[in-house]
Amino acid sequence: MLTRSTTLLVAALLAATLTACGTNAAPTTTGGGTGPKSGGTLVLGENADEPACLDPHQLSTTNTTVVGRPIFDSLLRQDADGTLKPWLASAWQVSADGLTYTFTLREGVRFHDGSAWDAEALKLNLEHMRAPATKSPLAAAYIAPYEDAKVVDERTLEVRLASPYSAFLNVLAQSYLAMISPKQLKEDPASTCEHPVGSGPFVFDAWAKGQGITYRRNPDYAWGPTRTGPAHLERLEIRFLAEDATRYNALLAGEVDVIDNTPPASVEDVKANPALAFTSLDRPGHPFSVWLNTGRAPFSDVKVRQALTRAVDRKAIIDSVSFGRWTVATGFLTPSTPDHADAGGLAHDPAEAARLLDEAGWREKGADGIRVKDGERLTATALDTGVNPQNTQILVQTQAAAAKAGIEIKIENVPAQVSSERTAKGDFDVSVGIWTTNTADVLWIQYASGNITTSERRGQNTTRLDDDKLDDLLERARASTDAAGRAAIYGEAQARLLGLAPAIPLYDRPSLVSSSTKVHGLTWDHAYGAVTFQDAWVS
Amino acid sequence: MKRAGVYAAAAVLAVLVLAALAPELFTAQDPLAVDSGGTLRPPSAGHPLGTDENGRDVLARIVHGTRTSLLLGFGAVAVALVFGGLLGLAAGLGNRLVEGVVMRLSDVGMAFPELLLALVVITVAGGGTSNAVLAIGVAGIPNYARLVRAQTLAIRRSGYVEAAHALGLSAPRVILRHVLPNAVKPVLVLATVGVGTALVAGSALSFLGLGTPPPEPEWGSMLSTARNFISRAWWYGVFPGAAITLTVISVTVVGRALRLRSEGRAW
Repeated sequence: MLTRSTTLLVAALLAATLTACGTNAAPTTTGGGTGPKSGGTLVLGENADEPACLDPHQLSTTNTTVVGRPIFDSLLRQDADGTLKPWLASAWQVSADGLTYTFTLREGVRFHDGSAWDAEALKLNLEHMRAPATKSPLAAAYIAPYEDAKVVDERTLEVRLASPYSAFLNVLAQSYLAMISPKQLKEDPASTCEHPVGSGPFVFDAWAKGQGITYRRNPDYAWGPTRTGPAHLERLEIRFLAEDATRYNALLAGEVDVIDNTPPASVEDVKANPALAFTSLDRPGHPFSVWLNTGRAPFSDVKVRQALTRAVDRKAIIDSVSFGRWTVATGFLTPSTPDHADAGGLAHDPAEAARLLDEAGWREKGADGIRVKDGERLTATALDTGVNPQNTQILVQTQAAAAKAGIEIKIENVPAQVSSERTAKGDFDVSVGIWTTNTADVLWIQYASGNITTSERRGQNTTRLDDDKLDDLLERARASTDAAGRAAIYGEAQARLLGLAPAIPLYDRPSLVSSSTKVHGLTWDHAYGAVTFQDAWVS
Repeated sequence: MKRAGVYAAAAVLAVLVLAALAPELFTAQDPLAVDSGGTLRPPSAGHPLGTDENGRDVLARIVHGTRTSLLLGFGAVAVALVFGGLLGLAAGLGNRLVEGVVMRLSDVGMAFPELLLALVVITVAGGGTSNAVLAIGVAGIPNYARLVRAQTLAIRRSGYVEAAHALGLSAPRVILRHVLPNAVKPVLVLATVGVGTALVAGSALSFLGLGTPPPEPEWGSMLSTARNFISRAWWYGVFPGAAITLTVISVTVVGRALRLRSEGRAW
């Protein structure tokens, strides 16, 4: 029977793959001999990537975990070593065919509005994720194989999937699939956006859009992932500080106690400052990459894509942009992702780039060094919102490397909304992005041809890659119920992607968190690589 | 003593114009040459003003950015001056309906801060240098339209215009020979001040990422990017900032001198 033992096997495998992934230690700065102090307020400075709504099921924003974790708990939690541990579910069983998941729920959990956590509540949440009215950009895709659920008794829910889906348990540990109050979902689901009600260590207090969110302690909290009992902090506040320099200076001035997204340029200064502490965690998923639109010329030609990949000195760019804080990506999954395979084959090789372009027919060169074929210039358009200075830097340096190889990249400055629309329509050649998730299924989301945006459905296959062999591999890995077999298929898929070169994987973006030494007990949400506060206290 | 300042300002402007026309005279370096291994280097013999976050020569980028930055300043004023002037003239000389329409439109335009109006134009037309020029220019139109109209009204009722009419001169001739030349002086004064403001506005648009797209050098966008590295690389922000300041001061000083001179006062 494939039951908990499967889970344990997966866990063991995960542990094996994850031991190599570096900075996994929680960012705890244990000071002095005094124990945790109760009370007080902690202020976090976050970047301006503010969610438009606080219903986690409606979000795909990077900061969802940081902003939502205080309010919401998940069914499972992911450990530092990748193991899935009980949280709101106390146990689970998977049927041999991988189609039925039976969850046993934790007792005694109450939401902030007093409603009880039971099988009905879990079912309501799963239904809410996929309800068309929720317009879920992420949770719905993550539980796409969900068919229906049967309430066996108050504490037991039997979830049926339409097809086996190996990543199901992993994604359930992510904050995008966290559990909302059943009362709220039944009575007024739309209100979750503005007044989210969960079961987490903090109760939502107020949200001043464009400025920040405040939370207060949930005194009844006794089901924390690492500790029973309510949070030490009386209040928690998250402030959105757009400018890198402003955020860093706010920490220096003591206006905030912790900052997320520490500017890479300031990390050295933080480390050298005795009043500050620094910590980081590698995020799982797809590395930060330069996406190439394979749906139109010039990047519809795989040789041109391979050429650009080889023309770019990724290490030089990443080192200069991050001041050595980021590690260069080794493939299409970051090392902290389950089933990551180190395939190599992304070496900087300008000679090979030139050879590939010659082979693709771009032999002649114009006066400015840009290659020409049949009177047409080898030119591509990149979209940049200018919001993130590091992204612009990466584009500019990629542009310079491409120009040396004879590929012209024009950078267009567009507002975020336009960028998102044009990317969905395929009206671009180059863009940059990252996809953080705790399963290799990210490859299916990003590269399966079924996820290309059509007029009916918005998919997340930005590069519009359409490869039968890869589709088959990703579907098989998805349906695999055998962990070792799945890892092998994902290994093949990653190797195939290196050949198809739909993107240039650049770096594994870590979470860079800096804090005042007064702050203790910061923890991580390992399913996403985000800082959490349920055990934090201020001395 | 005062004149020395004016001459110095004029000299700065001459150098700027020369840099805009022939940047190669001032630097041999390529403003677009990226060097990932040599980013944010302090001033040295090889890079007199240091390098930026992409290892590009800051001096070369300032020099090569002169053309775009001046174009933003002077181009935007030219747009505002021409269209504002024509509208103001029409309002001043036309019938009630024309005057009403032009003035109410300019009221609406003036109700918005100039930069906000420019942002609206950019949002509709898209980013880029030429659109930035257009955007800042359009935002400045109401000011010029008002000034020219007020001047036109005053001149229209003046004795010499009445005399010209009495002499039987045609309306276009009266407008071109008598009204326009006399209305233009205060407008030119506004324009010299305007060049400075437009340059700063252009820098602000680039600063917001809506002006000149990368990798083209432009002072405002340089300053904008530099602020992220200010604690590590002071040279990156200080020099483009100094270039903007120096230009605005020079234009203002020269503009003031020209105005005083046109009024027959000592400068």
